[in-house]
Amino acid sequence: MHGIFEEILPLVRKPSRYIGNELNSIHKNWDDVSLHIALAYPDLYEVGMSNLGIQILYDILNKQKDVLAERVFCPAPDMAEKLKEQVSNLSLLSLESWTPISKFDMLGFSIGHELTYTNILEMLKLSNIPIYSKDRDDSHPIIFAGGPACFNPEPIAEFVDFFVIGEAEEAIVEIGVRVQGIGDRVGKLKELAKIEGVYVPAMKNRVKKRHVADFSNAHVPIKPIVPFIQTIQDRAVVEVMRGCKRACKFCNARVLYSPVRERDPKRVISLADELIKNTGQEKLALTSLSSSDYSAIESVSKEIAQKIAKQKVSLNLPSLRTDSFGVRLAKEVSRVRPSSLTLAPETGNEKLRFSIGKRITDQEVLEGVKAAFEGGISAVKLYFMIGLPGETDDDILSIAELVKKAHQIGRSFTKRVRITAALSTYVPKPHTAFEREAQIGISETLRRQKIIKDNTRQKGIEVRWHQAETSFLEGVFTRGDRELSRVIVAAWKLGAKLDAWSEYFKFDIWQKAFAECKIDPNSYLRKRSPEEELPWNFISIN
Amino acid sequence: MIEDKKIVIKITYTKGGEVRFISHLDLMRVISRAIRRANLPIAYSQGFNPRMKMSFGQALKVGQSSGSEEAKLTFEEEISPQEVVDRLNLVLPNGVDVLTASRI
Repeated sequence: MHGIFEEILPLVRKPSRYIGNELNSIHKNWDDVSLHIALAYPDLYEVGMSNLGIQILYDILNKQKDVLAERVFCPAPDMAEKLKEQVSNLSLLSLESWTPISKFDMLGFSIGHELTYTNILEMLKLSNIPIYSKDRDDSHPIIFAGGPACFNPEPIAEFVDFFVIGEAEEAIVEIGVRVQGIGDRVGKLKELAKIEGVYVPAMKNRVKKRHVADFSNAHVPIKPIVPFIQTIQDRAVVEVMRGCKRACKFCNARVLYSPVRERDPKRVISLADELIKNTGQEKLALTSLSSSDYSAIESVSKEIAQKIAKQKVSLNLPSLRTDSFGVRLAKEVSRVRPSSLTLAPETGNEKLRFSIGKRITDQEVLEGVKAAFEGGISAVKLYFMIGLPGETDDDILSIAELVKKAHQIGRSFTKRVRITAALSTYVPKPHTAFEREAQIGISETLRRQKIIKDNTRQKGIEVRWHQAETSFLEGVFTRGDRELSRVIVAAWKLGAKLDAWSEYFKFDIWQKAFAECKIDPNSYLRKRSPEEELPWNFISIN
Repeated sequence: MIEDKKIVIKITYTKGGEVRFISHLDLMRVISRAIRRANLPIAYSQGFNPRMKMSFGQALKVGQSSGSEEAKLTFEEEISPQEVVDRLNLVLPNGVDVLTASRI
């Protein structure tokens, strides 16, 4: 097996995606443990290795004496082809020991978003595991899943044996204990359904979102794996806070990661220190949903920035607020002067902004822009959402106006100003205040994008947008039901995979799949009445 | 300002095992991160984006292993070549081993 795989490696692009053996990867002896778990992210290695959840669970599981955890990611199409064409029917292998995935007792997917669904099927198929839960028996691994997209698990509920709803750090240990000893998979799943946060689709049990009570002292992998290749988020990470003190109505992350929990500043500082020592990373990020709201953000970031300056490590503070405090702090702690700065006003005016729960005035937005230019930054990126509930054409025009005002402010500091307006289509998410609102369709998205583009035609302003078709699909699936599993299978059979990558995404495949299944995707964008049962109602958040 | 005396150390190292499948650029990052983990007194370039002062020999083809690759590292403090070898080997991933180091 290893021999054939080594022969394939030189024939594919970026073979280092498949070799494992990275610094800090954990290699346990297969026969020394009683439970073998493969942890998967259904996208390419460089996306999967940017996922903090996988690193945390990998470390927790491998700390258990009788458990071994290895990783697997979705192969790129060239590798997938090579695996399929081998006469010996070479299976997808784990990174650590190059073991076929079907040999593991369990396979867990961390699912970040809806456009990875077809990759789950692709990975199961490449592992010779039946894609439907009902077709699997005791000889197959138990398939489980968790992560943000699982807060409405119904579209993929037929492929997955059980879900962990919410934070899995504690649940995964309980799962490891309970799953051992009982013989058949039905018995195992019945036992697992007793664990708080575990949802077994075959049993249709109600479930309560899981969260870690003592986040401050929760397990952190202090020796995370350091990939050989550049990943999407290529940096060491310290989570400073979970949850969010703000109350933006559009945001599901705030709900998913509730309640608000801060990490003790002393622990944050010592973790930062250890992570740099153990990884040698050139970048360190302090992350949370809204870092400006972490009580000790200023003192902690300044102390860390000073400590790591000698080793020329740069500190990033993503998710700072769009105001002058945030901008000044970002500049102050950054050793490297950033060439650009990103702010997220979300809307073009404060009336709509306040109505979606984001309480930042237009003046505060513009002060943030001004603070950026004052510090010598010449490029500012502004994030906006279009299609918010109640949005009018005047609101759309106000985005263009705000962008032009930002440009004007920049011009008073420097001649070479670049303002980028990045437009995303608003997707109403389950468990938010807007979960019953309508989503705008593809043609309406294109019309609103065009209004903004037509009203910002001047040098120094660039408008970019999310592809309308991908937001459309995300919207269909995020509020989808079990019926949609047929569409996912049909699209995958027609060749859909790696849909989050524009180079692989083919919308016509999806259109064909919906037609084959006789399902109108547009109906999933509709406004839901207060009486309508929602597919994710069985999950309680509090 | 007094011009510092340059301390340049040439190392030879292996690229073998699975690591032979990583690119030249990735290998350079592996070594620079190892230098940071080992806390060696490497010298940095000036400017807004300081980089470690190091230069590498010609790139190997991806998939090809080698028993003796070369790199030159510039340090800002006096350090013995043997210490560079020992401290790097403690923190390098399998497949990359520093064999020799000499002052040039």
